[in-house]
Amino acid sequence: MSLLPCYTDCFFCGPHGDGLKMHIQFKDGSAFSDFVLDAKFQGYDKVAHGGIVTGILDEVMWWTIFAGAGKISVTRKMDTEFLTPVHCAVPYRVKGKLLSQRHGNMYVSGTIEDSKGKVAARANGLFRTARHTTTGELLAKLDFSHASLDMREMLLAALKGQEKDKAG
Amino acid sequence: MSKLPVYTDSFFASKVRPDGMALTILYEDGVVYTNMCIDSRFEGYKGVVHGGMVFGILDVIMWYTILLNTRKICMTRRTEMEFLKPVLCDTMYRAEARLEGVEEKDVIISAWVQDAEGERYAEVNGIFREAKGLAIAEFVNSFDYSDSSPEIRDFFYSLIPVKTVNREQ
Repeated sequence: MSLLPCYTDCFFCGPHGDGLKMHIQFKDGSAFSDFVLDAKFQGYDKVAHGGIVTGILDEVMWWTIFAGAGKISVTRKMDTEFLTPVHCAVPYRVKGKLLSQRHGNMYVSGTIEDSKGKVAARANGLFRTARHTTTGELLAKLDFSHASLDMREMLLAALKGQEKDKAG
Repeated sequence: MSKLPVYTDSFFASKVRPDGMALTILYEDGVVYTNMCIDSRFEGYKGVVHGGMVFGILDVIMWYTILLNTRKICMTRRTEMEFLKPVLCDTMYRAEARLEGVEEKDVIISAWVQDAEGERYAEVNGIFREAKGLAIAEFVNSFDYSDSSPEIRDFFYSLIPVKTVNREQ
């Protein structure tokens, strides 16, 4: 199990500001995060807002692609099912799974489960290789200070590989 | 044009939360919309609004559109979202929704983000269902009506079952 870096200014995983400050880990090809939402992210009555739920799923799917396939991507489509309310102040795990990739399209899924493994929300996403973000731009925004050494080496190697692919 | 009341604790629309988006939700000719300019606190990539935040804005607009058109207080059940172009920070857009229909328990709705020329940047189709077990009086009383017209305020309070009406001014 390895801790991934964070994107410095990201509302969901960035360490600063008023965001969620998610700690995202990577194991067996899947990015995941254990989280407890503060009540400030509620839609109503201590239930997390759908936008926050969607953002958490989007985030972990992006990291699954980045750490699992070494690709910098952007969300193109995302289908989300809200099965049961995601409550604030309750522990959940969100995890992603890379399903397939072809011609720059990455198909990925994400689930949010409670401590008993019951799925509260799930999503399927289509991500595409990012055209407008360079490796250098991304690297400048990644904060590796809390990341595991193996993740640092793996991601830096992946970014170098992607840069070579673009140049080639 | 009327300003709609906002849930006091709402991350997206509250006027009293410095950490939130403070969206102003408007209602005009049967249409709910917001004109928005999202700052970089809510970015994913540099200068680009995070997809979750874009969805959250559309989710809010869809929720109000359903409420105003059907009198139903609903929860999001399923959505299909397409990100067509990056929604940039510090740039003006409009988020708007349209009720597509009601089929048994399902309220079907669409919403989108567009620029001043009407070009779309994100679209979503959603299915919402009525919230179960909601304390309606408490919920309605938790909105901030300070910028809303008397007609809008009356509409919201008319959602409360008659026996439990208790306006908190």
